[in-house]
Amino acid sequence: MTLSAPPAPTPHRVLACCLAVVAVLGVALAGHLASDAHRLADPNPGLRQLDYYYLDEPAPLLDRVGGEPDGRPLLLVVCADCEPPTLRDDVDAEVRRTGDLEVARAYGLLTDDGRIGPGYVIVDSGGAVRYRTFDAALGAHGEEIRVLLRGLR
Amino acid sequence: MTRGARTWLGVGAIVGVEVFLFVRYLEFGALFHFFVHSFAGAGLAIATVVGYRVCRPGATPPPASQPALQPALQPGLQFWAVALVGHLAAGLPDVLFLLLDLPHRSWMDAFVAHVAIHFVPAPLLTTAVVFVAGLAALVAQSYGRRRLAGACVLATLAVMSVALVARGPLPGTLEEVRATPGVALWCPLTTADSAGAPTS
Repeated sequence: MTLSAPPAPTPHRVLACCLAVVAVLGVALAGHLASDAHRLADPNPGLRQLDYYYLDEPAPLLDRVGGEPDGRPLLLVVCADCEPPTLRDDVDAEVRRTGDLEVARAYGLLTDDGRIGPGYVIVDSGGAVRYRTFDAALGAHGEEIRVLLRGLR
Repeated sequence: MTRGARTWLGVGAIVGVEVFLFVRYLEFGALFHFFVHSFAGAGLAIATVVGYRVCRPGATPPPASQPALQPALQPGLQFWAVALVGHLAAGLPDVLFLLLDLPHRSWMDAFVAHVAIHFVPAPLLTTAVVFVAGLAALVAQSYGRRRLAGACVLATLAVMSVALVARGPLPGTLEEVRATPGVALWCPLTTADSAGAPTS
């Protein structure tokens, strides 16, 4: 079967194509803005799942969440009610969960309206906080978190 | 393979790659990153090619007596391929993250300011403006409106440049993170149940 060639692009066709692309992306963007991924995301857009170790200071309030890390990186899940992610066997890290208000505030995971996360904090084996982010569906993002934990080695 | 078949194959490939990227970012709940990097990368790429075509030596304008009847070079599939390349260039660090287990680093700003672009004012809106301006340049050039195309190209570059200069700082401490509007500096005074016991 021979496919017929599309008509040669005229200016009107180029305009129509551009408008179609804008319309499709606009609908997709509108869908995203209405989703939990946007509503429950970090109030600072720049820090939304940035995947960049922008912190390096002693992790606060570890005594309220089980103490210092046990020699492995620590994934601290901060939420009132959520499932921690499932990590693959190639990740040697400790996972803890807390809904403590003060802990959430200390890690910048408490919003002005009192919402606790959902989000998570990554603490290295030496007890320094290296990363934190809000993540509405962190339970399903084990692959992303795995890279961040392995990157601390 | 006929030229027509190659064209349709090209269209299918471009659309297929973009859909694949969209779905992957969606799986990670990271559509914010898809839009920011695709808008910026594609918009700047299209503007760059349009700017080159408008400014290259030998590019003659249509006669003044018939400005709208002699369109400039007709853009075709190649512009959308350029847009895809721009998107891929801007999003390459995300590919490295998944394929090489490589968290983001400062040097990744070489890829269309991959990290810095997150901190420009209103990043979704700003990069959308960059994208639309790039498309406007493309449309103007297809109608033979070289000066308008050139102005749109300059607007694309100007918006991106100003936004990057005006970008906010990358926080370096938890105190700076808590200083973000919307993030609580202090615990709310209203009583809120606190599940203080840690669980693992």
